[in-house]
Amino acid sequence: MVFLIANFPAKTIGEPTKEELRVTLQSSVILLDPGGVQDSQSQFVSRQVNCQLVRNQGSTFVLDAAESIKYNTPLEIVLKISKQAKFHDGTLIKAEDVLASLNYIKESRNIFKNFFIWIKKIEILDDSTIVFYFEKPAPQFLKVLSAKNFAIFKNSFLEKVKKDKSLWKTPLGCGGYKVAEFNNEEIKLIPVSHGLPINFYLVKANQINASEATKYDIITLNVVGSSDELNNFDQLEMFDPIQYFVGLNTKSKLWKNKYDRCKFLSDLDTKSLLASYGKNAIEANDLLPKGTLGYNSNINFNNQIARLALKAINPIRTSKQLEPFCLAYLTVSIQEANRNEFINIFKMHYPNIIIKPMENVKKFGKSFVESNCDALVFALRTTYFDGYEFLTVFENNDGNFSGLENKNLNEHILKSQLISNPNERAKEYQKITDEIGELCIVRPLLTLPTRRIYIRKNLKAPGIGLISIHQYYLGNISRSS
Amino acid sequence: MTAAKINKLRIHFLIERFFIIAGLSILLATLSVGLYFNKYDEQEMQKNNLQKIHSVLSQLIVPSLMISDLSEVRRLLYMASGDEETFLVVDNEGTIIMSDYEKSPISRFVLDSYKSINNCKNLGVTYKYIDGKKYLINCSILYKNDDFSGKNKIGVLLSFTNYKWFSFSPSIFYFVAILIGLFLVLIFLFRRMLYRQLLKPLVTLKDRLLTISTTHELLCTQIDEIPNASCELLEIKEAFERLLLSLQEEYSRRMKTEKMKALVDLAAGVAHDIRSPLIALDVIIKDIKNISEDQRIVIRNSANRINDIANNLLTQYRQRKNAELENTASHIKPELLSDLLMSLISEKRAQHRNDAVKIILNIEEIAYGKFSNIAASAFNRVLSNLIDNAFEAFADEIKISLSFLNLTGKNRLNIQILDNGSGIAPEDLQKIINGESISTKAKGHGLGLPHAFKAIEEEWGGNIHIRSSVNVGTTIELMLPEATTPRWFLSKLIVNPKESIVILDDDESIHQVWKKRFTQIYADFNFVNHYHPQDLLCWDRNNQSITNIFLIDYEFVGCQTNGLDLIEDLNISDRSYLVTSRQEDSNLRDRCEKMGLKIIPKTFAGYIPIILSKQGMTKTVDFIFIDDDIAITHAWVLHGITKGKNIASYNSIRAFKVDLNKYDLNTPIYIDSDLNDVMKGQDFAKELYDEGFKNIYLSTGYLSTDFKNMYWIKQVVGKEPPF
Repeated sequence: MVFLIANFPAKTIGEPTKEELRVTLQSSVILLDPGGVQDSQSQFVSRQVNCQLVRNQGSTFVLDAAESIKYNTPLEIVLKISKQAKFHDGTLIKAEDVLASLNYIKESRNIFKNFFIWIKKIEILDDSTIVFYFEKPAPQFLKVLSAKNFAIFKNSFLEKVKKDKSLWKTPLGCGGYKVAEFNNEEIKLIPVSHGLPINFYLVKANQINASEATKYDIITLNVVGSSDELNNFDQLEMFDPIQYFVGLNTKSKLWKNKYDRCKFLSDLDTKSLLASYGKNAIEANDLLPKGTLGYNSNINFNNQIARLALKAINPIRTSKQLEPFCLAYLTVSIQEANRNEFINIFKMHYPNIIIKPMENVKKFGKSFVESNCDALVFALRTTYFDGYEFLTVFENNDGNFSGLENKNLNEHILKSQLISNPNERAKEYQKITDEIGELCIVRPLLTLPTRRIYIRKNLKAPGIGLISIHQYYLGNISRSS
Repeated sequence: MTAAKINKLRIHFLIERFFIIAGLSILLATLSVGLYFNKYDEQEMQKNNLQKIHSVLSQLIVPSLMISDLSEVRRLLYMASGDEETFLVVDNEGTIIMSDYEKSPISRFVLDSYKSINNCKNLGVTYKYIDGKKYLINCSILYKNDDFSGKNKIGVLLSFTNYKWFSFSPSIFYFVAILIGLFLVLIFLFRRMLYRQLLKPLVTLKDRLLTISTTHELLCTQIDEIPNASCELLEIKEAFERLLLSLQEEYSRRMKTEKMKALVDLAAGVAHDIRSPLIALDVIIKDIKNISEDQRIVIRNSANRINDIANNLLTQYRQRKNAELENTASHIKPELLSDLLMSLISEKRAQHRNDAVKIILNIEEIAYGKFSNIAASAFNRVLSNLIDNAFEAFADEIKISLSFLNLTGKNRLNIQILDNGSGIAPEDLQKIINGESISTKAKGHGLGLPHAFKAIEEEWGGNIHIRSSVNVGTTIELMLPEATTPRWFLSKLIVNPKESIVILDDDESIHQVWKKRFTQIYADFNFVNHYHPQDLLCWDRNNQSITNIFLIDYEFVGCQTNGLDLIEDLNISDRSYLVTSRQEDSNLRDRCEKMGLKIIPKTFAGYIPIILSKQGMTKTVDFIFIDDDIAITHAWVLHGITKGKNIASYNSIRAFKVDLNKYDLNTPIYIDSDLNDVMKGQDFAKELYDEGFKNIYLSTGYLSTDFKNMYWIKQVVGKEPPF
């Protein structure tokens, strides 16, 4: 499942107490509502507050609120809820709560529809037993169910939150932590039963100086400079790919002609942008980033666009270049430090650029199209290394930023989720990316394959390297001294 | 068992210890070898297993990696990895894919070491230290399934296996266990064989020998049979049996010898005891005037006869002693010729007791205390041969005499054997002199003479003269050079009339001998007679005077203390003389020499010259200077006048001898070495020393090193006056 990258301003923070766990967060609008499009920072906080039936522990699945999962047939799964699983108010999790939570996700989100297209019927046998029936065998079912969006909330809470969205700041979940304080600078969580209290600090600059490392226990941001304080940290270089894209609004008067779009996209020069991200960044050659199912190292998506660009009748006119060019970007994706590098790509062609930051990520595609802006810069990160996570924004939903409603492509993407064989599905993903390439509505700019995390050495964090930091449960951490 | 033995370990303990150490050593060695091979085997097995895992895992990973199904790749890596092993994949772009990124040292190592896939070939299977931990690293290249041309490498699979310092290989364990078991069994069997075949028989042999040694069963020369004894042990047993037999024989021989020794010692004791009264008798006989000559001859012959018996007993004793000291008996050394002659004549008399031949021995008084450098046993043999020759020549009378001669300044001892036998024909005499054998027992005069010539002339520096007339008799003269008197021997006794003569002897006859000898010289001597050491000790407490001279016997009947001990206790060695018949005892002589004490052989008591000292009536001078150079003697006198010293100077030995007895014995005498006189100065000094002068200096221009071992010379000085 793809989630967007957050970016929020930092504030000056005092010396934290040793009892609490001090964790950095990228500056972002933290959204604990799983029905929206959560960026990675929101999902990191949600992971601590929410519980799920099953979780992905990197390479394996572990039961969370579920007591057992049994495949009666490839088309029928019986799932029993643990008697130990409780909400923050102490009440047991019931099957109706699970069903209500799934329905809330289904109703709230218009992307990631694959989960629900697999399911034929959900049946509650008793308070703790749910049976899932499928149309076709769905090997990815558990993988998707383990994605962070499928958190469980109390049915009554979901009823209330429909009327009062502000309740999402203190959701009644079933995770190990509950929210004690929530503001634009920090989020404080307290453990329900065990674990260190957590204080998330929203760092506006999306990076910290090495000398500031003393204020934190876990740093998920870039660290600039050097300091002896960093000797107190272990550094984890994790494979956690992010890919940056530029998408075009076909509703814009600039891009009525497909080949003009192709010409524009193929002419974008990303060299300086790549250089600004350092040696860790690689040029994106496929619509799907490296490390996701369906990625093909042998193709070059941009070449395909360039080939089409040759057919462009009208080269970019100078007069057009003087026209204002609206460039939108997702603030959760683009760091302040890199923003100008992105802008410079477009300035080469359209010097008169109007910048439009977009903070609302829930309906970012639809909002972008409606804004009449010409281009959108955004980043996507994978959660379960499947190409679908990147293709879902081309479905006919609120995430679609192109303004095109291509039914064939939409069906093609949805049908791909019914392919059990990963090899076949990967081939299908490549066909889909070819189709998207033919539309000239998007171009991948660069990929950051790995992420570096700093963890204070006096912390014992079992299994922290197994999964992305945003999927890690901080309640497992203890401090040795 | 003695403490020393306790400290020594018994052999079976040693063997047990050896086996324990050997067993442990073998155990350790085998374990070490086993561990080495175990490690080697395990490492090889580990490498092989890793390569198999790599092969299988590669086949599983490649399809997923080709479609970039990273979650599946990570799942496979997770399944393959464990606590001890970490698997990871590096793709063509150098991206590390692993199941758990917490193992950051490994990922850092990979980032540094695997810039490209080609590094995999260089590394292969190897050991590396990463962040202080040792890993076995295996690297294999991931190829696309459909093409193994090598052009379609899509990444590498790396495994990092924790290095184990020890890992257990069952096959090696069984091998080592079997090897150790085999060794232990072999050791056990060897030990058992050693115990049965060697140790047990050895202990049995030891027990039997211990039994024999502790019960002193020397009569038992057989050792009981030892079961299972090896050939070598049986040889040891037989050797012990032979040794026991030899011991038994030696024991029997010694028993006989000891008995004989006891008898001889008894006889020697009797001889000693007899000789003392005989000396007295001999002295008295000389002065008996009021009995007839015939009676006197009978008494003298009787005394001689008793003396012969005593001498024969002593001769046997000496022969035994000589046998004990066989090495020293054949050595040439100063011997008291009078003593040897008396013993030999007594032996000959006993030998020819039944022959009507008179053997007469005459010893000149001055010759009694003279020594000559000879081998005593050879001398006896020579004399014995010569006397036997006289017997064989049908002599009626054999006269043997010992006299002292001074021939052209050289002192000689002359032994003359004169018989009235058949004599020797001149032609035979020449043959004898030439060393040719003419011996016929019927005619006598044969084999003894050539041997006598050789010994006397070649070894002792003497000569022999034979004069013989057929049917008249033969006269044989042995001329032997006088030897320097040994330090232990007193050749003349010089006494001062003012001195008291203290005599300690348990034999009254000796007291009488001394009394007679001293009163013959000076009638007013004061005698103090003691018969027991205790008496002398009591007397000495109250009469400590330096004007006493002591004549002390060595042995006392029924008393542990001997004369030497007594002299030492009373600290009177400077004024004492040991009077004993034990003068032949070399230990006694040595002790006397160390004490500065002189011995008077008891047989010599009747003959030792006793000279009255002139002390008190002597000339008193500060120095005596003897030199043939008148100028030097004159210079000494003049220098003495200037220094207030009284110097007596002489230019010849003869001149000094005139005044010899006038000087006090403590007067310092300075003598030139080269006097151009009858003898050298140092030789004359020896005579003076024997006379009693103790402060004798050799005043000469020669180096002192030219006058070594002259104990009578106090110091070698120059010719300058010492004052």
